Amino acid sequence: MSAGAKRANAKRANAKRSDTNRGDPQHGGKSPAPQKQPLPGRPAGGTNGVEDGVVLSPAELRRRRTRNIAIAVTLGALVILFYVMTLARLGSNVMNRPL
Amino acid sequence: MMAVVRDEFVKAGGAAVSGETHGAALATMSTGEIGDFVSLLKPRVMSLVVFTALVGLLVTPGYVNPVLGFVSILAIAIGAGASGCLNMWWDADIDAVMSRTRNRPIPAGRIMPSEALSFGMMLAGGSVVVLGLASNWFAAAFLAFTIFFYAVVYSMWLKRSTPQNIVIGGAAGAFPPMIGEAVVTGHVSLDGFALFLIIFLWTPPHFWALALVKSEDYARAGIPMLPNVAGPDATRFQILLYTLILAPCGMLPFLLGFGGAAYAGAAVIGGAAMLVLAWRVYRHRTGPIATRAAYQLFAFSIVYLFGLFATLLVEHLFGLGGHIAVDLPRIVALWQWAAGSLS
Repeated sequence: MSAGAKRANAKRANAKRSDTNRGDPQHGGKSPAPQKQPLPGRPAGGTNGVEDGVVLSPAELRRRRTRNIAIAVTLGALVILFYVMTLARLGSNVMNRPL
Repeated sequence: MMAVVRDEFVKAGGAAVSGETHGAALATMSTGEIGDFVSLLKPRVMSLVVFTALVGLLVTPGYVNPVLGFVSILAIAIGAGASGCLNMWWDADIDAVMSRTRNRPIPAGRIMPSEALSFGMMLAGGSVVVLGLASNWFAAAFLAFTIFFYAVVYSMWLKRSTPQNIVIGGAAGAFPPMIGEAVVTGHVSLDGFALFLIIFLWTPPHFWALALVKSEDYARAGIPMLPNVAGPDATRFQILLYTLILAPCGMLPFLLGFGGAAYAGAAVIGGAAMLVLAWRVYRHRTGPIATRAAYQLFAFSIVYLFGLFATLLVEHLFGLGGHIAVDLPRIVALWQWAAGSLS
């Protein structure tokens, strides 16, 4: 892919992201009525021809939730791991400090 | 040719070859479950790596803080998982056409190739950093090299270009005991190399026994495994040859003094059984008996390697390892004396 094509793709992606975030209060949006495009291979939601964007099935929602929990648990475990590693590396020196 | 197929596969979201799962893989959102991500790490390969690295760590004289030792083994395990993940990312196209691998998460369309790549790279980097912080940077660099060797040298280069792929690439699977030793001492020695050599020489008979049975699968995927390139008979001869070298090399830990009498017994019995099975593979060349012989060698080779390392581990846990070590110079002197007496 040429550099020009990459730039064009990036621009399109940014434009799409901006559209997606417009109605999201977390991204500073005001209006709750964005016109989202469905993802390829997925049915568009909504009624009367108005598309709601990506609609996750209950199974997909469950999987996303499980993945999120796994990431959270992993991050928590990493925090504990680095804490324990630091203690083990310092050893008894952890008590050796000027009082 | 295979590289072109792989690129098309990746462009299509990972389902260019898999047919039925095309729709699922076209989705641009992850549909993977936790189990899919776990299976990307090749847990069975990971368990062998963990086990051999643990043995390498425990048989090495020296002290390691148990917590840091545990974290080091964990980092080596994650590093091995990262290698497996990157391998699955790169090989998704050939996995899709092989019966043994077509249900893996990427060819089945449950995980996108880009997700697997990110996941693998993140784990690779993380494992190297954690190992460096928990033990030393030599061991970390060794782990990084091992991941590179497996993912780039083996998966991207050797696997699709030479029938010697698993011979050279097998080094990646043989490094973990040396990494385990490096965790303790910060360097590698002859002891670690002996353990490396055992796994290195074990790999060809193990994988070629499977390749003999699955040669059609490999041919369909375009992988130049030895049975497809040199033929089954040449493969059988190579299996026998490698086993002939492996069996005496299995005695190295005993001869170098860090394996005890129990280990020597296991190495002799296991080596003899490997030789018998390799001979049967060599002799029986057609029909169900040939297939059964190849399967038996494949299955027993796992027991053999596990048995050798488990015996070493048990010996060292119970303080038996190396107590009845053989003095190599004394053996040489005895040999010379015996030869002189006879002449």
